[in-house]
Amino acid sequence: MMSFDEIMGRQDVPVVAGDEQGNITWVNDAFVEAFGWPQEEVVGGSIVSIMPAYMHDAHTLGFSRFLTMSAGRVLDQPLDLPVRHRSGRESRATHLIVAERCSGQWRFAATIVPSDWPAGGGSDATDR
Amino acid sequence: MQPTGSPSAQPTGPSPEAAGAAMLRQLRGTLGRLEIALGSISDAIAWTSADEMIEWSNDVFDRLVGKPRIQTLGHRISAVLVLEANGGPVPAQSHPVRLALLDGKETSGIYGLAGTARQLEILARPVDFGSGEAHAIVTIRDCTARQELAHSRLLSIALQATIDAVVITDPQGLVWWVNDAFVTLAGYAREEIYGQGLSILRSGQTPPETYQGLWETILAARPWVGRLVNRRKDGTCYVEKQSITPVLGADGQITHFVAIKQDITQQERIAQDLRVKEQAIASTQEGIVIASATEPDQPIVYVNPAFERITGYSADEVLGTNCRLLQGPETDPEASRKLREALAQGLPCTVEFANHRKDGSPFWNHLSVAAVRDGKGSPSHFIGIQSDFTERRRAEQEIAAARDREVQIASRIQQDLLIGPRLRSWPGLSLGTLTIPSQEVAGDFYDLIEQEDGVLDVVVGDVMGKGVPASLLGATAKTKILRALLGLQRGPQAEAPPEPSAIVAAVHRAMVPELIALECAITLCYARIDIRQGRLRCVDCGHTSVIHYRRIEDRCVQLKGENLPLGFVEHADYGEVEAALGIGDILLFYSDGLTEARRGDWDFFGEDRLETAVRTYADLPPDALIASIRQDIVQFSGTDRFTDDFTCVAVRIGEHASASGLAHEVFETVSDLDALAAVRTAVRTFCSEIPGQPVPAGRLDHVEIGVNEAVTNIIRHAYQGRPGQPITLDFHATAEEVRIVLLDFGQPFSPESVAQPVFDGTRDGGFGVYIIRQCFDEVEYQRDGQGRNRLVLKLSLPPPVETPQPPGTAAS
Amino acid sequence: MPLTITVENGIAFVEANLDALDASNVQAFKSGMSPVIAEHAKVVLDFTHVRFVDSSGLGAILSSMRQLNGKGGDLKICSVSKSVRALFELVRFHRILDLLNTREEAVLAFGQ
Repeated sequence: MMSFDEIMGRQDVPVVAGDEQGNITWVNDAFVEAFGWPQEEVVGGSIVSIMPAYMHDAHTLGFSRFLTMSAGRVLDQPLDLPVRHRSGRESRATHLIVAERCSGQWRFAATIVPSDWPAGGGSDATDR
Repeated sequence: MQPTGSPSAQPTGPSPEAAGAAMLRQLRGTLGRLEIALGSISDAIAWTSADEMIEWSNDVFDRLVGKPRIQTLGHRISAVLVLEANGGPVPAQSHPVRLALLDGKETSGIYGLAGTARQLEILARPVDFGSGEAHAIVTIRDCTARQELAHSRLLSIALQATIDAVVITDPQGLVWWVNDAFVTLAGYAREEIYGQGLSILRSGQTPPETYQGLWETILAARPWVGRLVNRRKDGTCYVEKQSITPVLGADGQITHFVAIKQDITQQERIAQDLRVKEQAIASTQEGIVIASATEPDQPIVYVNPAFERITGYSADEVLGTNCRLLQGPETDPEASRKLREALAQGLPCTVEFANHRKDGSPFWNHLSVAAVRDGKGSPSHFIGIQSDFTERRRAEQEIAAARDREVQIASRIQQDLLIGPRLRSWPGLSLGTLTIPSQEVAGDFYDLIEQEDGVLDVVVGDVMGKGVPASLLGATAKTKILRALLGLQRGPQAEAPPEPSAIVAAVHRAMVPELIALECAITLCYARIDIRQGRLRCVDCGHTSVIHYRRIEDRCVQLKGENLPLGFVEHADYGEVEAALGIGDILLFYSDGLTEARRGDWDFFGEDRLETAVRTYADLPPDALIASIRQDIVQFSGTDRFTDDFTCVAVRIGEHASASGLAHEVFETVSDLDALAAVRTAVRTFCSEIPGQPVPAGRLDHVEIGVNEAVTNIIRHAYQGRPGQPITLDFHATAEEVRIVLLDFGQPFSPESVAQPVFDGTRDGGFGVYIIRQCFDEVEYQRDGQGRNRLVLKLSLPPPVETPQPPGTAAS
Repeated sequence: MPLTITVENGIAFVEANLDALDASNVQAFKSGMSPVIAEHAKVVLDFTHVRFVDSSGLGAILSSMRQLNGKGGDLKICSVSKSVRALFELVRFHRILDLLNTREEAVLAFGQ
């Protein structure tokens, strides 16, 4: 079980962090490399921007449910979900999402490891 | 931003970001509640993109499809929610969601969830969320239970309606439900049986082991089938075939027993019936063969043991073949044809014909065939019943042959007794006789016995009892009479002929043992005509009366006596009746064949008519008188075939206009070829014994030949070969001629009708008439007034040889 | 049918041991002659004992003769009595058939 800080400290795999509003607050370099999103384009925007369209409603409702119930069904477990690259390409990646409360608000962090992510790291050259 | 002078103008509301965040929080709260709410309903909900991709589904949906949302999002709903309809998979293009998206309108239906037994009521609705593209919202309600309910309602109705009785019991066997058929079968109303055990149906005729086995089986949760004899409420018993199926609950425990009962009483009775009939067929002595009427060439499908025994073929050897294998060269083709035709038309038929056994030996088969028809009336099978009557036939043939032989012998005996000159010309009397037997051998008899000059005994009699023994008795009666006479005349003292009554008594004594043993009796009239005394004495023993025509008075009287027929009693006395005779009187002796000739049912010719006839024909010569009477009777009864023997003797007192003749004989014979020899003898005898001028030898041959031919023609043509019919030959010789008259009662036969003979040897017929003409100087045929053929053959005799003249007297 | 059959030198002699051949026994005569005709071509009827023949007897004799002729054979009659001859002459039979006095004459007649 990874903690929020542990995930935030990882450089070997793509990491994304978000807030209670559902916005992306930070992505690491591996994320930029893996999925082609420059930081300035995703940070501050909704988390759904890195999801395929058909995931949006499910995310929204599920996220809302979580905030209401303070209990979720997607946390702390590896999930095989699709990710949308900047290029529009979809690929599947293993997500591991954690959440913690900080200063009365929730904050989220997730590792998103594409299925073809090499063990030692790599980049999505086509996204450049 | 512009600070103003007002020291208290501080912004108090939230900042725009804070307002946005608060709104977002509120929205999220609502959404969360909505999501939870949607997750709590009992129906499944999902919605898809315009491409059917699942964009969201609730928990019920996820449970329904058996996959978490994570795995189904973004997939086509038709691949996730796999449906079945009408027993087969619903293809993607028929998926209700696609249909709704394509048609743009709501689609609903009940589908089965593939891989499960669940029934789903699915409603798919296309909705535009405002983006311009339609999405599909799908709600699914599990209606399995409802379907099951409808289904079970159907089943329940079926159970109710079935003709078999259905009982559902609890695990202890107490009745929970019965259908109407059960009520009808067992006779118990529902309220009487619910909650009861089915043992109230026990009749006591089912072995206890059956019930033990039953309970052991069903309590072990296994189905049971068996036969029980049960008793209805009204006490009558019936046979049932019962099957019991245990019903298990989800936990594997028995919750109910379902029993189906079939009343097989009738079935068993029919089966037993069939067994009895089969046994009967198998054990009968008659051969039974069943052939198919529908298959080609009517193959045999069954034969019983008797058939095997009669024909020598085993069942295996004949099954599948046609019955004609029993027929052979000796089989009458006519009978075969009759059989074939009847079978072709499906009609019943009985034939008797020769068949062959397997070993080739023939036997007489009495075969009756009938068709069995199917429900539509067409023949389905033929049943043949056959019996071997060879033995019976042989016996019948032997009996028939024996009877023929007997009759032949008896006939010969009678003929032998008839053959021989019967009548002579009696001075003072003229006679006529006629006998026509009704069967080949007659029971009637008559005899004429010359006692002395001027005394003639006439005997007529009839044997009561028919057939060969009777007629033989008749034949021997005459011999007995003669012997009795002989016996009575033995003494040298006896000069006068014995009395008629004494003669009859003697005959009776001689015959009574035989008569009683054979249970026959003889009626007899023994009459003595005494010309010199002009007296008739008559011993009448139960015979018909004698009709006496008295010329002086021109009327008839009947003479009757009172004696019993011979053979009735062991000892009897015989009385006589007498009558005076005048010239021209006629006496008619006859048998009851004349008076009992019938017309219709109740009309008999009778004595009155006979008397009238005698009177009518009184001026005719006796033979013509009798012939006329015969004709009258033939006319009366409408046939010339008499049912009873016809015997008649007519005596006329005083000579009929007699020609000056040298010799006169009347000879009566019968239409049998065997009598020809005697006829020839009679001819030779008469012709060679004519006093003074016997017929010379050369001509005698011709006369013999000629008369022989004439009589042969009468037998063959006039009487058409019928034996026993009377033929009269009347021989009369004068100085100038010999005249032979042949009289018969047959078909009119004219010699002219016979074809001329041919002499070159190419034809061997037609000589008879030619010969007759060659043999006689005159041949004359006519049909006389009394219905007789009359052929007159005349032979002119040469004038007497002249005595030689003395020399000198020459005649030129 | 009392017929005595003897065969000599290829000729069958049929002696009729009957008093008369008339309508009453002509069928039996025919039946008796039938095997003889079948087996022989030269047949002599010996009528020594026959005292009388009528037209049916004639017919039977004629029929036998025709059958034998048909086979290339012949029928002769011998020892015919006066009365029988009288009949034969009446129907001119003697012109169709040889009537001989004795068996020997009949044999000779066949020789010709």
